[in-house]
Amino acid sequence: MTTLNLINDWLENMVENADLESDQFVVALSDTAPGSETTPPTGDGDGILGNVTEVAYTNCSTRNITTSSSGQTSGTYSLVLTDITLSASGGPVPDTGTFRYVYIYNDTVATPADPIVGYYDYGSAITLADGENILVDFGASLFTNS
Amino acid sequence: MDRNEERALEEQINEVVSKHHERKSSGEATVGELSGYRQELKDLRAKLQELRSEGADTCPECGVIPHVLRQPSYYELRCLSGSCLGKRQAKGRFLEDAIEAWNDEQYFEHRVQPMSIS
Repeated sequence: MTTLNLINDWLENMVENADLESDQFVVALSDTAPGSETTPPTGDGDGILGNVTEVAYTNCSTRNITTSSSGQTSGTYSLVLTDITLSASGGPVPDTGTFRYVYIYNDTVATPADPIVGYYDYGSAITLADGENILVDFGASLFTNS
Repeated sequence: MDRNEERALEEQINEVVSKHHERKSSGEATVGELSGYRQELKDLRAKLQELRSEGADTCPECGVIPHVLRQPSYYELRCLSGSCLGKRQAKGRFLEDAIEAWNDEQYFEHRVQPMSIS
C-alpha cells in the first residue's frame, strides 16, 4: 500500500463542511477491514468515524496531526500535514489485540460528525509493544487538487 | 533561525487550532468568527514559513520558495508547485542542514511504504 485510500464522501465534505486550514485532523486505528464494517465507511453517505471499529488508545500518544499548510502553489492546491509518530508508553497499543488500518479523519466538523478523509492499510495486523513507535508519513501532501 | 521564536509561533498556532476546534465543533461560532481563526492561522503559518525558509534558494525548476516542515526527527524543505510536488524535497537533522541540502539539490524520495515501526 503506497497511497491514501480516499473516502468518496470526503470529496463533498471537504468543500461543504471542512476548513482545511483550521480543522483538527486526527489518526484513528482499526483492525477491521473497511469493507467488513457493519456499515462500511467507504459507502456513499457513510464516510464517518462512527462507522469504524476503533481500537482502545489506552497507551497511545497523541493522535492529533499538525497541519503545516493549506493553500495553492502555482495552481495546485495541497494539504500538507506533518508526519506523525504514534508511541506506545506504559503498555502496548492497542492494549489488547492488533490494528492494521490507519484512518485520517476531521475531528472538528460536527455535521456530519468526524468525516473520514481516507485510510492506509499497513498490510498486516500489528501491535506496538511498550516503547515502540509507528511513523505515519503523509508524503508530499495528503491530497491535491489542481 | 531563532528556535525560541519558532517554538512560540508553533504554540500560538496550536492555540488557535484548539480555539477554532472548540468553537466550530460547538456549533455556536459565527461564520465571521471561524473566518477570523482561519486568517489568523494563515498569517501565523506564513510567519513561521518566512522564519524557517530564510537562506533557502528558490526551486530551480519553478522559482517558488520551498515549504519547510519540522518532521518528527528532521527538517524538510519541499516544493509544493504541481510539477515539483513529490519530486523535490530535501532534509536534514537541523534546519541549517536541510537548507544546505536543498540549496545543493540533494533531494530524497518519500518512503514508498508510508508507515514504519521502530
